[in-house]
Amino acid sequence: MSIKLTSEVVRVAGESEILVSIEGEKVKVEYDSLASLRSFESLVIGRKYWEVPYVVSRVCGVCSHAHFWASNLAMESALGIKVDEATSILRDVCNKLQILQNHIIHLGFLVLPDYEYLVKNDKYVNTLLKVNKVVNEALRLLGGRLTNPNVYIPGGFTEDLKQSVIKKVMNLLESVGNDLRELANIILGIELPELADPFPEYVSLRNSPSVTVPVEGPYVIDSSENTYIVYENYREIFVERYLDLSMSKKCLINGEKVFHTGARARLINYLRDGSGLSSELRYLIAGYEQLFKKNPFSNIYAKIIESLLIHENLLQTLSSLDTGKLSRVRPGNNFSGGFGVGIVEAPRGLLIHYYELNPEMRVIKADIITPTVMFSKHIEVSSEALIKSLLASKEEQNESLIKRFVEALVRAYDPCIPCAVHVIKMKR
Amino acid sequence: MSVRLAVVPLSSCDGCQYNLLNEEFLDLLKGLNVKLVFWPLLGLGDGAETYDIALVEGSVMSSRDLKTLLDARKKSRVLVAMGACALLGGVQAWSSNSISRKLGDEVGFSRPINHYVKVDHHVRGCPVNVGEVIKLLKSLISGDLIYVGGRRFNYVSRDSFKISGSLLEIETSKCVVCGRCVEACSLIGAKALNYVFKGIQTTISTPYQESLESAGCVNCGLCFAYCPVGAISLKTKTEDLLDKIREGFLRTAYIEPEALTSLIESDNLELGQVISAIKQIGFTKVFIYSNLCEARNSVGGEILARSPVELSILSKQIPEYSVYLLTPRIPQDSVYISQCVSWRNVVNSLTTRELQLLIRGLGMEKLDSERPDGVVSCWEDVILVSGLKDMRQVLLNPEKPIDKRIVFEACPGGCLLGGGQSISKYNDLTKVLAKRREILKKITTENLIPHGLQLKASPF
Repeated sequence: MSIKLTSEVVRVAGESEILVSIEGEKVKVEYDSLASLRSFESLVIGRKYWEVPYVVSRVCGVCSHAHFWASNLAMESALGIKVDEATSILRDVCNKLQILQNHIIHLGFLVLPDYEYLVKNDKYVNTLLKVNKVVNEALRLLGGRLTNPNVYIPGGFTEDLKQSVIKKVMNLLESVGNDLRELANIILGIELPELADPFPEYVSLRNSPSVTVPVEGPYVIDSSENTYIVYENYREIFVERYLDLSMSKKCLINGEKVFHTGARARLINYLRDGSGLSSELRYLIAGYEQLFKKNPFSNIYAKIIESLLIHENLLQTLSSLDTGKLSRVRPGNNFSGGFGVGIVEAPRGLLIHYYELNPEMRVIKADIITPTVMFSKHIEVSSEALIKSLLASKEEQNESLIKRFVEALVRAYDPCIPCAVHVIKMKR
Repeated sequence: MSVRLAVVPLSSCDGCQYNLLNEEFLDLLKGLNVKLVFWPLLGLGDGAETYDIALVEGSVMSSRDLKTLLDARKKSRVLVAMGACALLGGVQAWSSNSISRKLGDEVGFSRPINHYVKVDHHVRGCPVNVGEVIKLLKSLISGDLIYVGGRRFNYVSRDSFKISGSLLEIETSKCVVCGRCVEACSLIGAKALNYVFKGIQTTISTPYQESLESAGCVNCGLCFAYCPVGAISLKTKTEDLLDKIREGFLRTAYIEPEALTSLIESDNLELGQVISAIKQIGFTKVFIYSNLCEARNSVGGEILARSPVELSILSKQIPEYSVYLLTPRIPQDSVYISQCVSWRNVVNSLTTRELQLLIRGLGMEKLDSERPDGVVSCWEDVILVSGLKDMRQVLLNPEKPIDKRIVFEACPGGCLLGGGQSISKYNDLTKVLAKRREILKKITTENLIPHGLQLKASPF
């Protein structure tokens, strides 16, 4: 059996294509970006420290809060600024709201047509739209606008926040608690395609879905097999290289092992500590742990469970947040240059920003590693596994079926191509 | 029929698209009877052949983007640049070292989409305000005036164009939209020219840029006379005629008294000096000839049109009188120096303004005084009517003089202020007219008639 397939994957953020070649037993899958390289690392060279977050948040309109936060963290540790706890918590709240928004959009608009069960369910679509509206409104209240907010700056926020806004956000979130639970009931009832994924490492920031906020490095990164202390050594742990004859750069942990990051990894690792986790959710996550490790299609389960978790956490965090404590710290006068690393959990996984500043506080070196780059190798590996299992099954196989399954798998990963500034498609 | 909407992504952060993904926007689409036919983010694509409205997000950074954009332009009726990337190139346009060009892509640099295609409307912002997009869509669909985003910069440059008729030609690239031609055109009653387009794109044109004659132009040449920048010009140039004169094919010149008058008035010349100047150009014989003398042939109640302009205006505006029209005969195989531009289409003709420039080129001090070789004139028993308004009053008056000969001059102020007349040193037209009337009276009573050169009948 010999099949060659090229398919542009729709219903993901950005343009990408998947290439499948099957020759007898041999199966090869490549996942490439079709979006043009926008080279943000070179754009920020020579810019003042406070300009950089505004520029790099335009890497991705889907998770701009995460980019803002990571670049601010990196800038602050480079400048030696320590922000107050309230600022850190508020940034974390915004980022979590964005994760929630991304999960809802993914569940509502992107993967929806892959599952007939969901398409027919009118109640599901209406509930999703309602939740989406509420989360958008909350993000608008906190960030000034929906995408590319204009409130972040290294050292704090550009303006004070009234306590009444926090109250409003809490009311909004409380109003959708039941809706989220309803959604969870529907989504967890979906029958997923079966797939035995070769076990990769699952990597996430320690306790990332909980209320604990990383304020400065070094960052503790948990994996399903290891614990890494990451700061300036991030390049040694997350190694980007060209693999085999593939045209795209791929990221491997320690330069050898395929790894995954994102909602599934966060839930798997969080379960080990699980502080501040309600027993109901702990039970839920533990029940799905093996499935999360085994089947990438279960990403949609992970997303809705994490949405429940985030919703619970946000209400807790916001109730104890005092906006009167927000203050803005400015960098000192005698700065002699330095570097900083910022790592946060973006909706799709780990996001690393690195900046080196000269004594004039201008950027001389910049580096960004985004989650989609990290798990793009994993997409290829699990697609190959999927095709192999499809070929091994007794039912008759054809191109369109394989194409449909592979596209559905890529979509389940929810890759974000605008983010993946590293996935270069070279001349073919 | 539902409106077909497409959202076309190019190189960008996708933020504008995610901004649109909310209940408000999707509800609105349902309410406006809009059908989404192309949006890769929602899995809609291919199959659709045409779009009514295409919202383009992102800048052109690769040949793939360019292909998508050109395809979208071809398929869509209205193309909207959505957000800062599409409008201005986005942050990625800051980059000067293009990696994608090094990798072999032809486009390489980030450019706004109006660099490649025509953009109909735009919405500003990074990201865009959903409210503005909704407003724009609403006004596009309902056909209201569009004010969303405004038009602060002239993103869309409309190509300049030429409008030509049989006699005149308008180049809009030279036009400064002073509006004198529009006023003149409406005064004479043709109303062929008017303002077109809006805002900074305003220019002068005929409706739908059709040819001048089909828009109602009568070739009076008033627009040509009053244009201060030379945007309106004659199609046949003076040089062609001068060549013929110098080669000796055309040796006789006939000059109208009105043309003589305006030359005398504007350049402070004597009648003899003008005749001398015309002879210096290359003519052997110069006659003074007024086509008013054709009125002698009329029995009474008929109307003499002094030029083709009056013919076309009367036959268009008061068609019931077109059977009473008399047309003057004009000498062939000679040059007719006239105050009217429209004779250019019929015979070899020089306008007074062209003659004025030629005489100025000769130099005033060289001019002697010479007598004309003959005069053909008639100044009795005619009613001179100038302007369409007066003509209407005369013709539609029940007590109109049936036995009198009526002569119609279409230009406001008559032939003394005709489309081909020379440029006066005075700006005030009433003053110019008064002055020229005085000179014409002087010529006819003191100069011409005492010479005894008046002929009884037309020589042709």
